[in-house]
Amino acid sequence: MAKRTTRSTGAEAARDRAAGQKPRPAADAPTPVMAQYLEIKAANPDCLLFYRMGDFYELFFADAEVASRTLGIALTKRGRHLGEDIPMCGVPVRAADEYLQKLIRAEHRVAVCEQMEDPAEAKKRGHKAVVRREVVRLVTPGTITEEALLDSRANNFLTALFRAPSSTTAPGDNYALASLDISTGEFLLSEVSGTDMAGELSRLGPGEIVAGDELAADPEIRALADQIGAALTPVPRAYFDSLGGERALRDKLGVAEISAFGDFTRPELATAGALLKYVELTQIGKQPLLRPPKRMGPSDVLMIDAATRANLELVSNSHGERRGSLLHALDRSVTGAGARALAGALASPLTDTAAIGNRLDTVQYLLEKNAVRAELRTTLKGCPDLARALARLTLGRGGPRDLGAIRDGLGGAGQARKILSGDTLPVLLRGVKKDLGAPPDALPRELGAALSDEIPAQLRDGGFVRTGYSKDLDDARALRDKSRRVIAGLQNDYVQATGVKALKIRHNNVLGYFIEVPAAHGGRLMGAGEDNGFIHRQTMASAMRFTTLELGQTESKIAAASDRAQGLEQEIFDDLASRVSDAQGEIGDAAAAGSV
Amino acid sequence: MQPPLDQYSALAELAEECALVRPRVDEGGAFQVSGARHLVVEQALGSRDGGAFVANDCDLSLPEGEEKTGGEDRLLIVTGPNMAGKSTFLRQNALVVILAQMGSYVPAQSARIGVVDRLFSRVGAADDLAGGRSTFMVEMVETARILNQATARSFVILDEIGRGTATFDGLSIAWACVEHLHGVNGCRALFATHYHELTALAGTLEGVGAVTMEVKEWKDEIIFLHKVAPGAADRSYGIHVAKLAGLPAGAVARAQEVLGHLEGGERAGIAKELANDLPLFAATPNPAPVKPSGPSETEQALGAVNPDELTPRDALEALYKLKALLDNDSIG
Repeated sequence: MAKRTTRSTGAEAARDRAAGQKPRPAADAPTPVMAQYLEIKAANPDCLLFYRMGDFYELFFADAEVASRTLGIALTKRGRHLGEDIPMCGVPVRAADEYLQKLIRAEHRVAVCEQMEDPAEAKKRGHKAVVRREVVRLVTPGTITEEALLDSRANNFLTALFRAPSSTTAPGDNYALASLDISTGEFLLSEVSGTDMAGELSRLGPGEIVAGDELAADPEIRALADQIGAALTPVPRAYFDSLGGERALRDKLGVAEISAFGDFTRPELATAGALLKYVELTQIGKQPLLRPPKRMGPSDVLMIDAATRANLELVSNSHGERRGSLLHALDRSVTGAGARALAGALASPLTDTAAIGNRLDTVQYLLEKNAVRAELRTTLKGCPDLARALARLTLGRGGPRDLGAIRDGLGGAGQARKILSGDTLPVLLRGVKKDLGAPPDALPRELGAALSDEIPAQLRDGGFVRTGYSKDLDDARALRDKSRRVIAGLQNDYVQATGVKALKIRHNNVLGYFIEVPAAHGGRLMGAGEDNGFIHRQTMASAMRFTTLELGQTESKIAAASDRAQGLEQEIFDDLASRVSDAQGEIGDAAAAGSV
Repeated sequence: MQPPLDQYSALAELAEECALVRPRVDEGGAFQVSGARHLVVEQALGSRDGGAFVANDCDLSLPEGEEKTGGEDRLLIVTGPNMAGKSTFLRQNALVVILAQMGSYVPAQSARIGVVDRLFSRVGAADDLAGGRSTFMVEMVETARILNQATARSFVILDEIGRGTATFDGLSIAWACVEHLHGVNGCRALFATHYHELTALAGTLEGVGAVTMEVKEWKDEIIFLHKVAPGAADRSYGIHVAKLAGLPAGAVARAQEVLGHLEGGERAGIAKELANDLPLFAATPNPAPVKPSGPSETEQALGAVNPDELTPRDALEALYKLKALLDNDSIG
């Protein structure tokens, strides 16, 4: 808890802190890397700093102690600072998601600091030059997008909360709430009275609440955040500015007049502004997916206060588990997105009888049309999480499998549209059908042509592009593969030439490709001298290792071709990702098809 | 993808699998649900076809409801022994409201629901494990919120409110809550209680009814039928439950003995005394009120009112009490 109250945001505080550090005596001067670390850490005092060093994110000092305790990983030492050992621990980059998840669950915030250049670049500036590093993202409970960090069947809202000054039209405390699920782009606004605020918060069930300093320090708000299991993050009050909010909304939604989406009150605009500002702060300028805001007032939903929600065990039982809740008993959805929509509907029943009737008509239609329902469910079951893949790609945090998800999701949308071919569709399904048809045909075709059948998890694993999509890439791959065959051929030649049947060409990360023969035969290659081209590299207890000019050349060809193939794949990925991003509105419509 | 498609086909799937029915949700004031079940409890009990779960009707309606087809009551006092299913009955009706208004079919044979604006559900403190604050305080804070916020279109279920304090405190609070819900909020409500005295209100307040969880006695044992029937429980069978729970036979026998004493003497005496002190009890049908000589009860009560000390709400409540007294005077 102390962690929260002492947390301060903004670069100002960071600069103050950095300035407050006393100059150190020369003997204790930190190494250049440590100096860089300290500077970046000082700018992010409220976060655990994941400091990228090669294949690891390292943590130092108090961060290391906290992380090793929370994650159960070994605490080691690295160098000395101010005469003391520096505690350190690290997590491998490849497994970082898993560790991030544990830290976020334990209500920590993490600043991810990456290497912004190749170490070779840095060396060009001198042997003491440090690789340039920058914080690229703050990971907080309300701003995560990774599949591994999220519950696929639940929304993860970030909610900004604002206590509106009481006025003659709205006496007493009023609260405005702006919520964004950054992993799907869902964006909700509402304004409620003081007595309904707790119920509204538990309706949304956010993972993180952002509030002005003063409000965040209010014991009642803190108790409430604890109760619903949300992290509470204070931000400067100045974030809540209705003019700035209106401007930010216009910018981010790309409209000239915000009134296109409804008449927003000043407190709502101020709160939306603070929400977007906080998102910008944590995403370091990256633009998240933002769907048009949906407004829900107290008169639109059946008001259910927090105690009643808990008492009726709507979405979780009395121990906070899903089992034993009404949601658990009624959930027959086949996709994560469907489960999220169902949970949302259960948390927010309507009061408009016509709207309720429309929903019931839809259920009735699908109940009566058994075949349509069965076909739909089969199609949906095969569909990946379109909304979350789209959100990651938009944020520049997607991988090749997200492109695959877009391809399959849009394919599924097309199929679902065909299934809904009946002429007597109820009104909501007519809307769904229209939205399903929204995305441009060209994109799924392009993705279909570009993506291979087996898509690797990571871009750098290579191979996500289908053969035949790019001639350059195919050429680079052919060269790489041909050279690999050349190496296999070389082994044969060398066996013939030396008469050593046990001769093998092997590869490791230190030597690259090399020729290995049992120690007993080593003499034969050594003895052959320089003329046959065998160059001695290493003598082991049981084997001797050699290389040849030819082998070295072939190896560089392979490396060059691999690099080129990788570069081309990256280019193709960026191109496809930006095409997806350009069509985010239409894809988002398909993803949220007819959500009313 | 396609959340709504999945959402609606999932609801249709559920409707078929669990034999749900389409509710009629309108602007009227009814809450007529027949053969309703509690989805979660039912699934916990196992197969529906096994008949493990006993379905129940509930019929409430607001007086302004344009066509009154069923019951005349908007508030039901639910009594019955512990473990007989009071809480399940209360909750399943609240859940029917939520399911219907989210656009789902509901676990019942038929359901007609006048749309609800606010839903409240509270359980008395004995079931509440809230730490730190006094549980009774929490209970009262939450009850206060309901009495202050519920509108005529709201739906309220209160389960054993007042349990967290001494018997007569609790009874008085429960009594006042029923009167307030009935007279001021005017909402549809289910009020479960083990204070059987409250069922007296069913006879005096228009729109207040009483139902009870049926119980069968067989060879000194009790069998819970889990069936809701009109009327009031005559006792709470707490000792039977204690016996079921494995309380030592000696303790059970002794409890039976003490209960006999209390029922035969002291508590009845206290209740009689209360009836004389509190105008609230003037309406109880049993001990016929003695016709007072001199100023009537209404006049006495009116004399005791100091208008300068009353908030508007207090004044309204006082008016209700006076009216009730007046009715009683004219009967007596």
